[in-house]
Amino acid sequence: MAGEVIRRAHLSLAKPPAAATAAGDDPGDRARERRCRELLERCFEEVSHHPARAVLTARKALRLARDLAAEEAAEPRWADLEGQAWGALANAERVAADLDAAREAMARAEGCLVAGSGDPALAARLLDLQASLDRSSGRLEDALGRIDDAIAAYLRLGQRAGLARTLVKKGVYLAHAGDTERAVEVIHQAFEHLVPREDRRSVLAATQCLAFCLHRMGYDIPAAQLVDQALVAVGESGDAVLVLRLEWLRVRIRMSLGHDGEAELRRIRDALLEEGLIYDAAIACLDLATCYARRRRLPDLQKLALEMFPVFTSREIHREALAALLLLRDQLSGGRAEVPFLEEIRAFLEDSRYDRRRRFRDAAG
Amino acid sequence: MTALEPAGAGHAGPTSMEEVVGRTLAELLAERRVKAMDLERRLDLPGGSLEELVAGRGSLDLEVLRRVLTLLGVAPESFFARVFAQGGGGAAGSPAGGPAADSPGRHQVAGLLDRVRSALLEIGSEVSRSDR
Repeated sequence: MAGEVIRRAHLSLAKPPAAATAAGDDPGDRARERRCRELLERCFEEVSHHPARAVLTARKALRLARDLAAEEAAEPRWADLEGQAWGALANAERVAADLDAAREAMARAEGCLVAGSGDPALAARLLDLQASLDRSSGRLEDALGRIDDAIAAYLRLGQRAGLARTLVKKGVYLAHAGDTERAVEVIHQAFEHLVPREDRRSVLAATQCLAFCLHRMGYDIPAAQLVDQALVAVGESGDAVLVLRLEWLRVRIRMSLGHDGEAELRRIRDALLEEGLIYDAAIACLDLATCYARRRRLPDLQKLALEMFPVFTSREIHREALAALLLLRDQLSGGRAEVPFLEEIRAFLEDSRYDRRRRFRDAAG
Repeated sequence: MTALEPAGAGHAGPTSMEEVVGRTLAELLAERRVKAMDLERRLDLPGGSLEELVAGRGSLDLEVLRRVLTLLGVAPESFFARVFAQGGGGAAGSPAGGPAADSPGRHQVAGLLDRVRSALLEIGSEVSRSDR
């Protein structure tokens, strides 16, 4: 199974990390290593809002790391560095929605882990990244198992930031799995380890997850307040995609409190399409359709069916989701979509996004 | 008191979301001196349906509630703020209510919210400093 090598490496920690042989250090190698680490850092910053750019940055880092690792009598730490670079590339490809490329890069990262010094920090990081890849591949259960291994690894290493980040991830995964109560508990644990000024992204991700869970649990007012506060905290210099997701959550909360979110939803749906977030745009279309269906605006429903065409051509839409969306399009074209049906499809799209074992209308029998 | 504290502690047994919404709605109608029957007529609702809502019986019909609030000119947020103040419990998925009022999770969530808010304030102040 993918990632098994990483898991074993973390569990056994057979080889202690090799110390850098300072005496044999070449100044040229040191400069390349420094440049490679800078690029990896930049890739981490870019990946959430500029995934395509992050892929290019990771490739540059990888070239430098591979040159170092390919040198005659290369030290095992260069294989570690190459493993980090492959891991960064796998993550960037995943966010850019090229899952095949991400899996290939992750397999190469595992190979470097075996060839390298057995660095437990690298093993922990790769477990963490493999969990993200499992989730994006629709294997949420595997992702949850893997993230527990990563949490254990960071605990063993005493790496606070890694521990806090993986706890936030676990909270997000649990929320995706529909276990909102446990998600809130895990987010609570994460806040025991988060340092806001150092873990800005994780704090915002945790806040978004918490607001989502509160909304799902029926606490709409505090959920809306949290989203507003998160938007203020992100500020104008913030990540555009994160802002968009927070605004979308806010409009959904407001709609459940009885507001009409049509104009806002249209803007969000268009912005999601522009950002290439097709799956999210499909779900936003469902929110919009619900808005229209509640007011019996049949011509708008029919127009929406036409507007949804770009969604169907996306590789992000898996087969089961496509089947549900085609059924929806037929109903919208006929102007006969009912709110419970729209809500059923919306819930299915959300639930099956990270768990491909789900089948449409399973719940309904 | 925050919205998530178990308001009405000491109050006998958990109260359902439907009951608290019904009670809050009854208070609102009394304040506005509006009769449920008149509202039913004006909104073209089946006879007795609003009485059911006010009595907290059956499942909560959000569409009816939304129409009633719109007619009364009451923002849903302010209505649900009152529901919270009454210690609105209720089933998961019900609007703004959350788990039962005596759920131990409420204290935990309230504490967590304070923590998250202060983390966000810290991040926000960092952002505004770097924007200068």
